[in-house]
Amino acid sequence: MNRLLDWCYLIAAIGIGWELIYLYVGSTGLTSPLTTLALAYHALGERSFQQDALATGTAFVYSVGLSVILGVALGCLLGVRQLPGDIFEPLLQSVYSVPKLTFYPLILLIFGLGLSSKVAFGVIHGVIPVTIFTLNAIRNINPIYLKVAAVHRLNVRQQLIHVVIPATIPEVFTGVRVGFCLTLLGVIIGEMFASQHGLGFRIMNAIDVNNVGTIMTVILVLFIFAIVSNSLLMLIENRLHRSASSAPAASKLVYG
Amino acid sequence: MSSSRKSNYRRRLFVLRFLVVAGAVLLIEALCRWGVISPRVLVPPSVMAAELLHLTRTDTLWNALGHSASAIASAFVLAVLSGFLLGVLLFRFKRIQRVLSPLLTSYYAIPTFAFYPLFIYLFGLNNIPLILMGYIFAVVAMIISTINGLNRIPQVFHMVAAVQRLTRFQRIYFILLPAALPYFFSGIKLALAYSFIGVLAGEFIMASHGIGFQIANAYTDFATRKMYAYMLLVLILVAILSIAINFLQSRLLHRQAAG
Repeated sequence: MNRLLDWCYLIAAIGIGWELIYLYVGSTGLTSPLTTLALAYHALGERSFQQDALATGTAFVYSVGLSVILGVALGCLLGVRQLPGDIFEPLLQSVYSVPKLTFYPLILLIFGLGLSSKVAFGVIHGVIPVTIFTLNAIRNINPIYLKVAAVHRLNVRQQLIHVVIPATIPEVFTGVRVGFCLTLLGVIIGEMFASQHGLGFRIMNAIDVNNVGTIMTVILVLFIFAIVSNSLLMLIENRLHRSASSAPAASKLVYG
Repeated sequence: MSSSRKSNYRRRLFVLRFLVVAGAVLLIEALCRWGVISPRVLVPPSVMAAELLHLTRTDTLWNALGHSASAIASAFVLAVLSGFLLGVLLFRFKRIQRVLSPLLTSYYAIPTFAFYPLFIYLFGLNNIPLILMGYIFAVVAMIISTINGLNRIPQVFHMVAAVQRLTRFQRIYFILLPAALPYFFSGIKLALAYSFIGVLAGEFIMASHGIGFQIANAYTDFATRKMYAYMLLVLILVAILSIAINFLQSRLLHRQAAG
């Protein structure tokens, strides 16, 4: 109930702030919240908008899938031993802070215009956080867990199922959530510059002809999607972390 | 004994890291030279470096660098200062923090670049929209890191402060700041990276100066070598900045651990 109230406050705050900026800027730069809502409602029923949303959605699903698979695989590879993790983590951090948008000509030259280019853009944005979080999750497994596994003479498969995966899943999931958001951003940016379909392309088109209503509509739809899906992922994440943190506390009681 | 072993290990890491990067560059160079990668897609790194060296003798590069650097620096300083203050405020007022938390955590999924035309409309095609782009991209990272840092201060520290009857100022200076410093540092690092990304992306989309503008310009002119020379410049700048910040961080944290 309390959480519902929080959401109401948040929506009200955003609405009022937006309306105030609108009153200050005027309708050439911005549309008002209510107009944008009406436009968005209208757009959702439009065939061309649905097609663009579908194009973005397809690219996004591929990108998230690839980011998660590649990121978790890379993170496991680098995280199992001390040395490769220590070598590559700072390198990954620096690659992460490169403005990837300025490298879009390279992606475009390699992948051409279209779906693969968009997906590549999403993946280069999303894969690094997943990798870094997975890497750290594996390195930070409490050594006692592995000792217990050794004491119980678990084989590799049992170790994975009963120890490693449950111990790392909350951290990895945090990485997936962060990667999810960044992948969405990457796909949209990819569409803005390297595509002829999709919501990003719609924004870029609207920017060119200064069609304020369309820009605001697409941003609003993306914003709502991002905030709702992220909050859902956050809910799962908190649950995972909570159940994980109860385990070490119990083991502390036993071994402490 | 253990500290000398540690520094040995660090030296070894440094050498290995260098070898990995050098190996990657050599591999790309070889692939380009052998024709596996077409020269239309990627020019060999040595050619990029030569072109960049050539560009350093022109005014265009230094002007572009100056424009970008001033915008990035302004965005960065504004983001760190105001992000820190806002973070402290949100930490004090838990209720507001709770209301804003969905916005803060999903902030980086919003395509902020789409607002850039609005800023240009509002402020004109000058430095202000660029600084604003860098700022709105960077400030939230600083806010989140500040809140994280303040949240992670162990309860015991507050109790010690109460036992020692520290004044508010002493409490902030001796307890809060040192305890939360590592988190502030990760915020500062992110803010730097994000103001860099925001400004260059803005320049890339629409601007009349700057490194991002030069890349976009070279791209539309089919000046592939020039484009890659500027991209190389971006990579070098990022590398220098992250090494500098890591160095500063290890110095500060080291002193903290020692004192």
